[in-house]
Amino acid sequence: MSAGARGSRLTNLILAAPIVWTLVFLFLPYVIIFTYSFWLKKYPTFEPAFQLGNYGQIISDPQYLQVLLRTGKIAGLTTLLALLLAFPFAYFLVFKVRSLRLRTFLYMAVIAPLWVSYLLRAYTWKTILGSEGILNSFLTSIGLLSGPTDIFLYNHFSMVVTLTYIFIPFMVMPIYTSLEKIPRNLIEASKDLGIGPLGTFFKVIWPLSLPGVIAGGAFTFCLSAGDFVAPTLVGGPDGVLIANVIASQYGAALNWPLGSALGVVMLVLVLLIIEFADRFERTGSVNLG
Amino acid sequence: MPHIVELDHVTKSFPGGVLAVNDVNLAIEEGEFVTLLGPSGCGKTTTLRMIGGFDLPTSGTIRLAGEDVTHLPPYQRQVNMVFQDYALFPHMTVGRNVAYGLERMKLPKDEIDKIVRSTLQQVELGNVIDRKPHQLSGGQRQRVALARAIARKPKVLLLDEPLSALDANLREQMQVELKHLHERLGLTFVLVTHNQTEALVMSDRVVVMEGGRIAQIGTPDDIYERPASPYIANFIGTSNLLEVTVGAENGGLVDLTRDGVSFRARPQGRTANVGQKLLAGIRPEKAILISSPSEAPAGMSVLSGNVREVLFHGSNARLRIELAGGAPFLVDLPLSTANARHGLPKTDATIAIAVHPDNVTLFPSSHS
Repeated sequence: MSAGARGSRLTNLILAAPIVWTLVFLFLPYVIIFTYSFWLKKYPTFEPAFQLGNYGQIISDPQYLQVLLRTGKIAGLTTLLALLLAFPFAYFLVFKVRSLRLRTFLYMAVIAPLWVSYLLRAYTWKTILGSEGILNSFLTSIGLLSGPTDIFLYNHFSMVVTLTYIFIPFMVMPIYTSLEKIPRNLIEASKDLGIGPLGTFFKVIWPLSLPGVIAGGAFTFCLSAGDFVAPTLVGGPDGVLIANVIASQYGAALNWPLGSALGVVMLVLVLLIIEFADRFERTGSVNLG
Repeated sequence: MPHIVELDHVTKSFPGGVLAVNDVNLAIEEGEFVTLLGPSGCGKTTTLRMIGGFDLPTSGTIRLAGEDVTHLPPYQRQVNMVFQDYALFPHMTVGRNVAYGLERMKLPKDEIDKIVRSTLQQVELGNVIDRKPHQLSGGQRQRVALARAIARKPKVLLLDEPLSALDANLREQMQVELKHLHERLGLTFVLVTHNQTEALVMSDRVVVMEGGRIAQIGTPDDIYERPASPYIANFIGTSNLLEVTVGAENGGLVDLTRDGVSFRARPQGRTANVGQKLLAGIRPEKAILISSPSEAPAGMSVLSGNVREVLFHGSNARLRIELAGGAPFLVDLPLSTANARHGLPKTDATIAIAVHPDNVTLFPSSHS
């Protein structure tokens, strides 16, 4: 065998490994879930079939629709809150912080928690918002509360706060990048043409940062819509989201077909959002060259 | 009548102690085309940005039509800028770009529309009103930037190296167009460039800057024919600089000598005392080739030297000569006929050249 043939065989092997990995651990599971979603539940297990009953159940049974709507609401509120916090922060970093070192430091301060265990970050809010938590002790000590309260934890508010905290780096990063890409002379040109700072923001900076806002919004929405930990830790009794329902179908309820159908619905919704965001970015984004 | 633009002892230093503009005084007449010319880092762009309001002077006063605007933000000044890389809004059509500055002027919508169309017509771009900037060529973007700035009918139009991104042919064409536009509009133009040809072609007056200071102000003719310093003589065009000693004065002309070479110059107001060491500047195209020293036209000085190299420049030929005594000297000869090139002296030939005393510019020597 020639050295060249040996070399190309080695290349094939090196390339094959990740492809096989992707097929076995990513593509195959999708196929399995998709297949399961048409199966029939037959107590105590389930049997192969091709019928749309599981999808029918998701549409007809109001409790699933309710969970889907609640998931949308929590993810939507999280996205909104993250945007309201991330945009001014990224704006401040890009346009107000002159020192490059300070800018990098502040940027990293927001990104760094991504390296901390996700579970730990969610758990932190339990200790902040709980009835024995920091917020309660603080409000009690300054006399605003007569005693500890549990109104901060186990509700939608605590879920939105926790999810915002966890996913805000995914909002900050694309917005920061899109703001940084805006040429400074466009802002100068706007002022040169008689438009003050506020007008310049709405006519130039905001439209040109939209691709970043959309990308950040899509990330944050999809990640929080699929979240499982925050509802479990800080969600409380009416805080069940779609991921928790899917988990329970695979676990306690032992209804893999219904769980799979819910998973497929979720997957399609997320793919639609990503496709929409991508399309917007391509048509709405502008050639700065 | 006050000047349209007045800079009064304007100084700008940047954090870190860089003195970009150092005590600049400048008064610009209404309707004038003034060019700030200099190499990069000479303070010309900073000066322009201070007139526009993008940089604030560290000290000094800036007045527009007599009104102190030193501390007004750009959006409260009646000046408009054409930016170096155009700075067109990429998310807006050409029409919206041009209308951008008009929307604040409380004009009815169809009035704005009319101004946009007529302004685009003026820069010959009536047919691209609905395109986005990225669909235009460099030259077209340049015109949109121009249209956007003049649509507001500013008191002063500022142009920051507007032609530097264009290729050579287009740049030459735009120089002429800008000059015509200036004549048509009657606006005051202040242009920044490092390109001497641009400055000479377009301006009524040229302000040469060097190291944050104004080195010379004058008409293109003044700057070229009567440069104030050897630096300017070599920044605008090329000049042979010879160190000479002043001899006797005779009928308004002074004798100048350096080892083995002597010629005469008209001081034209510059000091030239007997025995003084000076620099004499002679432009290469002002020296003429003569067949022998005795053939020199009346009143002209004769220099002789050896040809070291002949360089073909297309419209002219440049001879690198070594004068008697060893000083290098350039002579540009026009090539006015197709065969002129064959009549040129050959390398190592000994030639004689003649220089008129009016074409010698005297500068104080850097050594004295």
